[in-house]
Amino acid sequence: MRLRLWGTRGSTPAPGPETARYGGNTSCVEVLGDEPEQWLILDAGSGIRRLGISLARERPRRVDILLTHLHLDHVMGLGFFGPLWTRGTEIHIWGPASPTRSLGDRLARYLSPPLFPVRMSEIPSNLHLHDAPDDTFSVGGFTVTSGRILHSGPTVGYRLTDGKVTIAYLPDHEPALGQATLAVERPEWLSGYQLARDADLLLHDAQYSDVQYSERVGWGHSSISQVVSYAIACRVSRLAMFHHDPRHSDAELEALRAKGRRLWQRYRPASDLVLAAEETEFHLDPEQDEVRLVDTQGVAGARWGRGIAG
Amino acid sequence: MRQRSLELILARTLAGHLAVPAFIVDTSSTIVWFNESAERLLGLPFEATAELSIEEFISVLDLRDGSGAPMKPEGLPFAAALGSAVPVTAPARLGPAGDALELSIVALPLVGRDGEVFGALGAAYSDGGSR
Repeated sequence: MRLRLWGTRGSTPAPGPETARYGGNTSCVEVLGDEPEQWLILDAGSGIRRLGISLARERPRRVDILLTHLHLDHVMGLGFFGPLWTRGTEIHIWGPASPTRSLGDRLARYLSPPLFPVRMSEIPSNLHLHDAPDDTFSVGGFTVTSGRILHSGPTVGYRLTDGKVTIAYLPDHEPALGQATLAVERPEWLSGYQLARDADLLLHDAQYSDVQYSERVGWGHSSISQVVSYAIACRVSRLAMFHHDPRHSDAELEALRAKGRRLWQRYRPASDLVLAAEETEFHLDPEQDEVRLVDTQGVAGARWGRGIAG
Repeated sequence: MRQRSLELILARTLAGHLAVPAFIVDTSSTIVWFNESAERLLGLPFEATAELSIEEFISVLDLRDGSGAPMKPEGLPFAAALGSAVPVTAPARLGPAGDALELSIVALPLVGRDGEVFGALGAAYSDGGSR
């Protein structure tokens, strides 16, 4: 399994020289497996635009987009995703269910005038919309489990496995809300535990410093200390800090990573905690018994040569 | 161990911040969590018992109904609210006759976004007493 990161920023795009290293595009992760002609994408933030450009020469037959929720930073790139505008391409969009409005109705609040010049009914690709079940389902050679997690509004996290490696994607998440501690005796009471438990790689909300979180309790995001505690409680093997605050420069992100690693290294090697960066890939290869962080931008990467959880 | 639903997690979070004794009941009528005030009422910490069945709860408290008779499980509002899907209130007595703490036990069925009852939030209100 390979993960290609096209956007790792949260809330709003944050381009600029001070964010060039880790990127300014909002959440978008491409998941690549062995299934030919099928693509799976996690979230459709602004990063999906460039992903669409890269897919143009592949001409995928089917693309599945798993949305964690419909906040703008996770859907803003949809209207600019090239395959959506390619006749004959099958696009499946999955998102959290609502008891009152269909996924299509909710997406149409953005993909329609006056916010967008084209209506969803005019999209030329073969569009299919699905409510992500609180259950396990198959997509493109992957077994996907979705489940509701603690964030503002209907939000799901995703767990993906190809039978050999398992990743968990919880980009907007506040598991610490109302909890005295995340180091709990009964982890079944932790939001998202079933999704994240024992994952080989967890991509998780790490938006705030501890001080910033104290001023933003209930906003739906996590501090660096909380995400480390959560990852340890879920017994994940590797943690990628995700959903970077738009105000955080590259240097500030690296300071957060240093803080995270000081906490993390009581549990696992410091190098098993990384900052998710645009233009990087995670290669999870159970046969090589390692996870490699392949950097296409020159950012220092990591090679994780640990056993991969089954 | 089965992941608790998001709604149950949020209900427990709320119950943990209430001053009244509060209980979280799942759809099998098992009391799956109770707060600090409830620990004082029961005289034991949650971790000592973990989950309690309705029968165990009644037995630990020696709970009686408003007439002083031993409380029947089906008479406890927790189970009644789950079955009826409407709020239920019932008087109860704690302790021996003559020195009983009069309680009003309430239970709110918790209905999720899918329209299904996923549990109940129970609380025990008293008009005084040292417990």
